[in-house]
Order: sequence, then C-alpha cells, then structure tokens
Amino acid sequence: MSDEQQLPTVQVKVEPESQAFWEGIANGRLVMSWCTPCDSQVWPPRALCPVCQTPVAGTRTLSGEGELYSYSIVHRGEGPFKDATPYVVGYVDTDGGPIMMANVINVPLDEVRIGMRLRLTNPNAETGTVGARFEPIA
Amino acid sequence: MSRVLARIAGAFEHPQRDIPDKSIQTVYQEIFAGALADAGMTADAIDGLYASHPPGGVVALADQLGLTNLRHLNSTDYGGSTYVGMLGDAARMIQAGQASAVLVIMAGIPRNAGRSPRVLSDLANYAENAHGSTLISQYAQVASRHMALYGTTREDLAHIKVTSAYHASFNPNAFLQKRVTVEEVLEQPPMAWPLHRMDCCVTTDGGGAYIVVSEEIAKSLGTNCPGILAQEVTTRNWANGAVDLMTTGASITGPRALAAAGLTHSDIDFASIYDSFTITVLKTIEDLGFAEPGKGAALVKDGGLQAPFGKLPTNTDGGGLSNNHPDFRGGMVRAIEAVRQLRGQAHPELQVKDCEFALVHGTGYSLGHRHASATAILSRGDI
Repeated sequence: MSDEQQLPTVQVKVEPESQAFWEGIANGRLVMSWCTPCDSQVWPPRALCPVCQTPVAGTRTLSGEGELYSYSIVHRGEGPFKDATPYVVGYVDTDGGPIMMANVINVPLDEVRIGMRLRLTNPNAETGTVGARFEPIA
Repeated sequence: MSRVLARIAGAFEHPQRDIPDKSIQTVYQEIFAGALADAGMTADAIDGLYASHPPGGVVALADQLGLTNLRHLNSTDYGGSTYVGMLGDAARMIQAGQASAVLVIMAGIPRNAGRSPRVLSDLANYAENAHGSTLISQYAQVASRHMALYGTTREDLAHIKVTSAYHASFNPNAFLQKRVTVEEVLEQPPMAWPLHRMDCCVTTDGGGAYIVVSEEIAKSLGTNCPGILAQEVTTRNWANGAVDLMTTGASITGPRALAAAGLTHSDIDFASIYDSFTITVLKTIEDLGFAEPGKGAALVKDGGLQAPFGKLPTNTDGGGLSNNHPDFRGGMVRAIEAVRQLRGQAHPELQVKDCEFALVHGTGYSLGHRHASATAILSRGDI
C-alpha cells in the first residue's frame, strides 16, 4: 500500500505563473492556467500561451478526475523521496485537461493499472509542498 | 560520391571504464591523441572544435589540447545524443567551406569525480522534484505503457540486454564482459518497475572522439574514412499537455535521415542504437521504422539484434548496457562503433559482412518527459 503519509513533502519553487496551480494542488483542486483565445490549458503553467504567445489571463478549475495514462513503481528514490520507496509516479490523463505528472496513492501497488479512473486527493498542505496526488475512484 | 557530405578520418574510444588516477583534462588529452593517431593527423590540422561540456568550455579545452588553428567552435549540448547530431553539424560546416578538419570530443569521470556540469541541469524540473520522478522512472513509463498497449513483456526487453552482453563478451575493454541469460536479467532487483537493474546502462568513466574531414583531406590521408550521408535532429516534450509516450523523436529523424541519404531500411547493414535502457532500444527501432509500432519485441527476440547474422545487427561493442556509457552520455560511443563496422574493424566474430551503410541514433535527456533525438546515416569509406 502506498498511502499519503509515506510520500514526503518537498519545497517546490512557486513562480507567479504557477501560483494558482500549486495553491489548488495543496487544497485538492485542479486549477489550470487557461488560454482564452485557444480555449486550451497552458501546461505546465506559463505566463504566455506556448501556442499563440498571448499572455495567460485566467484559470479553469477542472473536475480533478482522470485516468492513468502510464506509471512506474519507483524503488530507487532520490532526495526527499529516497526513503519513500516503493511509490508510484505516473501520468494522469485529466478530464478536459492535460496529461500530467502525478503520484498515485491509496492503492496496493499490484492493483495499479493503466486506464484506471483516478481523482485528485486533498492533502490540506501548504502551497508548493506536495505534488499532484491521485487515488482510485472507488 | 556526391551524396557524401564529409568523412570521418579518426575515431577513438578511451579504453578505460574506471579512471581513478587521472584528471578530466588528462582524459581529454589521451582521447585527442588517440583520435589523431587513428586518423594519421597532427594537431595543427584541426580547425574546428566541437565539445558539449568540457571543464571551462571549448575555449579552455582548445588551450588544454594545444589547438592553435581553430576557425570554428561549437559547444551545443543536448545530452547523450549531441555527438550523433555533431556528425551532421561538422559535415555541413565542412560542406560550407568553414572548416576542413573538425574534432568532436567528449569525456567524463563520473565514477571518480561525479557528473560533469550540464548546460541544462535542473531547469524547470519542479514537477519531477515534487513527484519523486527519477530519470529511470521516466523511461520506465514508456515501457509500462508499451506493455499495456502491445502486450510487451519484461522478458522481451531482457533479450536486448542478453544480446548486448553477448556482444560485450568479445570486447576486452567492456565494463561488463559476462554473458547473461534472460532469467538472470529478470531476477535483478527493480530500479523503477518495469525496469530492473540490467535494463539500465552502465556508469563509466572515459569518453571518445572522432575527426570529421573534407573529401580532399580524406584522400590525402589515404586511410579508410567512412562517409557522412545525412543527419537529422529534433526534440519531443510534454507538448502543452498532449503527452505521447509512444512517439519519440526517432519517428521524425529516422525517416528524414534515410530520405536525405537516398536509402531505405533494407539498405542499413548495421545499427548503433542508443541504449540508455532496454526500452530505449525497443521504442527507437519501432519509431525509426525497423519494426511496426508495438512489434519491436518480435525483432529483438531470438537474436534479431545479434551480429553478424541477426536481422538488424546492433551495438556490437556491447552498447551502453554492457560496454560503455561515459559521463552518462552514449552517443559518441554509438558513432565510434559504426565507424568500426564500416571500416571492417569490429571484432571478427561480430563484423557484419560487406557493411556498406550504418545508422546511428542518439536519445538525449528523458524519453518520458523531454528528449532530443538525433539520427545519422554513414557509408563505407570506398563509396
């Protein structure tokens, strides 16, 4: 079992353009930078849309659900994750949003499957101290 | 032949894999001396210097190597694929008349002095750091999705290591010279599932160099100088959230390079395929077009990559998986082994008969996040 408590907190460098995203993640909400002219996510968060170079003016809060696109079970962690192994790092194909890097928690390692439905958890953490942590939708 | 852009006069792989008693500067000097001797050239003939990340940059390296006639410098760095790209960069510069003899060189001693500083070390890696993503886990996710989509197994990947170890058993300089079985590969401890220890390349000290020269200089040397026919590079990344782990840059650079060389897959006699991990090889041969998407496993099983009789003889030195991956960068050694095959200088047991055309492919940085792919097509010296 890989539960939330096993994953360490980190200190992410929060930039002005990524503030809303990390604030959302820390509070269980998937807040995407959104380009109005393109009507598309801007991922990872950037000040200008990488497609049309327009300054990003707004955000969109997604459902926080999605499906697992791929994953690995890490047995050799680095830095703060050195003692957290084994844990799951993966890509989640979010509903209406990007395929984004995430951890999958609250599931036995041998039950993790590509294609499984997931939702963002709420770690109630300080902004910039946790990554996106998803758990299976029961 | 007009298709030849320039020729490779000298190629040298440092013979050591663990170098506790020499400075990095000395290793650079030894490699340069080896490449000059192989080419039959002297230092004053070198008028171009390409090096990705030497200590102090290319200006300090020119000083260290005693190069006083330079008119062209290049310190481009896109990881381990850099030296596959530089085959083309040097050849085009020679075509343009801006240089006549370009030294492309790399070295590192990470086993004894740690990783050399990189130009783009930790830029914007906040997502990796926050999620405990490691380099191996990024490649592992390519393997994981390939398995889920196509039914590829760890055993399929193990065949790539088995062939690599078989080839390395003929290489007295290889870091790992012991042959291994599929079972032994499968029994190794996991690093980042589905990749286990023997799915990963070795960490070695050393490096290598090659010298790209004009047709005129090649003729004057009177040695066997393979030709550079074509080279392409591109990058792939998260693409604003449209991640596609099943399409690497090789799917762009492979077809473009073959077309530019005027060749097809069946013309390629030998392949040097970047093998940072077993999955790197499997995905690359599919994306280059040597196998249909998802069908790479059929090619790598039962000696498909084994020289001299496999369908696609690959990495006859043992590759990064068994021979050498100096300073965490494999592209230079991939280029050098292709030169050996085209010159007929590979180990006699592994020399591909009538080896006319070779494909060299490099994969720099992380296949699962952002990477640089470079493909070069080389020809035998007499064509």
